Amino acid sequence: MTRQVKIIFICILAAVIVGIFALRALHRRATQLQPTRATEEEERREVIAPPISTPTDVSTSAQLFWISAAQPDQLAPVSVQLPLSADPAQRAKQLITALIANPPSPTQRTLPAGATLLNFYLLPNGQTVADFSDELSTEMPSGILSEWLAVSSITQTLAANVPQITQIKILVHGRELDTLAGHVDMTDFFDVRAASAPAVPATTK
Amino acid sequence: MRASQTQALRCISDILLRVKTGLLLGILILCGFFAAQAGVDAQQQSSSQSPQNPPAQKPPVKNHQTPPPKNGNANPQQAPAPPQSPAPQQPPVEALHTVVIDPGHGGADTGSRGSSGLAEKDVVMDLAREIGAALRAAGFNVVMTRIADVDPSLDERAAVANAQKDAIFISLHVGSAGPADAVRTYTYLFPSTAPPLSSASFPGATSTPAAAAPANFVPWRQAQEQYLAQSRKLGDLIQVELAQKFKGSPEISASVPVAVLRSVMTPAVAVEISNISAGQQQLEDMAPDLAAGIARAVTAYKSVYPAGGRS
Repeated sequence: MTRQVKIIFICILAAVIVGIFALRALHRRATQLQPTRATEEEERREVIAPPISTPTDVSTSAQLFWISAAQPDQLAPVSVQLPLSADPAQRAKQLITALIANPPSPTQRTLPAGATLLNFYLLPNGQTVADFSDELSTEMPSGILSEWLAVSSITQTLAANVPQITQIKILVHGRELDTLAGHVDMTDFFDVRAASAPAVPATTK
Repeated sequence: MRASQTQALRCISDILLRVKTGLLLGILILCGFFAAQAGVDAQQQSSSQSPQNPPAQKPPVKNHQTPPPKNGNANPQQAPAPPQSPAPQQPPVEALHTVVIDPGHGGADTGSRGSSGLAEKDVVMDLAREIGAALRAAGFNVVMTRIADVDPSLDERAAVANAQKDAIFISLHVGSAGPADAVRTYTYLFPSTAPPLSSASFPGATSTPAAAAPANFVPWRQAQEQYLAQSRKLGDLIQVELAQKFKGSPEISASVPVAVLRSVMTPAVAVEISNISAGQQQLEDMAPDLAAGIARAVTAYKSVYPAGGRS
């Protein structure tokens, strides 16, 4: 083996060793980037839908309705400690925002994760108008049951926590939809007071 | 000279022969055409009423809010039925005669999608064919709102049902909620939401008697209102049948504002199977039981069906 070949071999060996270390460092950086992305996602959500806090907020045990863990075609109330406003409209916004953001598990979710409550209006007669982002409709799983569970989770949560509300009209970007995702009619107000009944009848064993 | 005369006579005779043959052929073709026309007329008379000829007995529906048809595929599709021997003439009886089956979605609207790419629009089409066959075997006339991969609007689907006399309407869906490991069924009817029909509720009306709605006026958006009691009976009968076969299903129907039911002027329900994630094989396996259950329920409902579908 000539001297030149030896030098070349040593150079290649050195390059390989440096490459291994460089790759490990790259892997570490990529791993560190992952939580940063999640934080950015959270920040984006906070910009679009910042946490609603009002001067009258009091930590309250609220009843939120998500899909039952035991029966996936039923809703079940879950007690959640939330800072809730004394103002009924603000309180309703806080509840719906929590309904979207904090389901106990992904399978118990009723409203799409990407949906955002844009505006909420309360009229003196107890009628309300909730205006959501497009994702409420575009990311909604298609089906009569899934759409009705979504609507019922809103009406039952409001009925349990905001007694001033009698009815709710759901809009998307200010527009009335014919259906939520192809099935449930969205052209009428939904009754909030009558929402204490189960979304669908109890199932057989 | 004589040769040329003979040739001319032969030519004339040849022409006459050809004309005669042509006339004979023409007469034969005309006979065939009239015979075929007579056959078609006879078949149309023996079959059920066509949706293009709505019954005169139905009160008119004032469709002041209905958008124009989306496409030209709205024509109701008479499901192909096997040829039947002519039935003996019977006196007309007011009884349930026709079942309108509405396979949901279609065309660009795929409905729910399973993890394997299975589309609701295809599953419900197969189910509709199976249910249609079971209902025809039970003696019902079956009309489908679509038989191809098209997407009639919700109003067009309702219009197909409204053109039928003595009919019921069953809309079929496969959802994406509920347990994926077992097949369950849910039957829905439209809830009562409309205010009572009165002069005050008539759009644009004042309190003067002149503004009162005509007695047979039915607003398009409230068309289902007067059939709700019958829809409930039909829905419960279907759900009781299906709950026996598909464990975990509710035993009664539920009131949910399913948009396609709103403007149907017959007893109307929507049946949803849960769910699309169960997979093609499981959904195919359940089809015969679903079809048999619905056929049994509709046959049972026939005995309580009032004339015109209203109670």
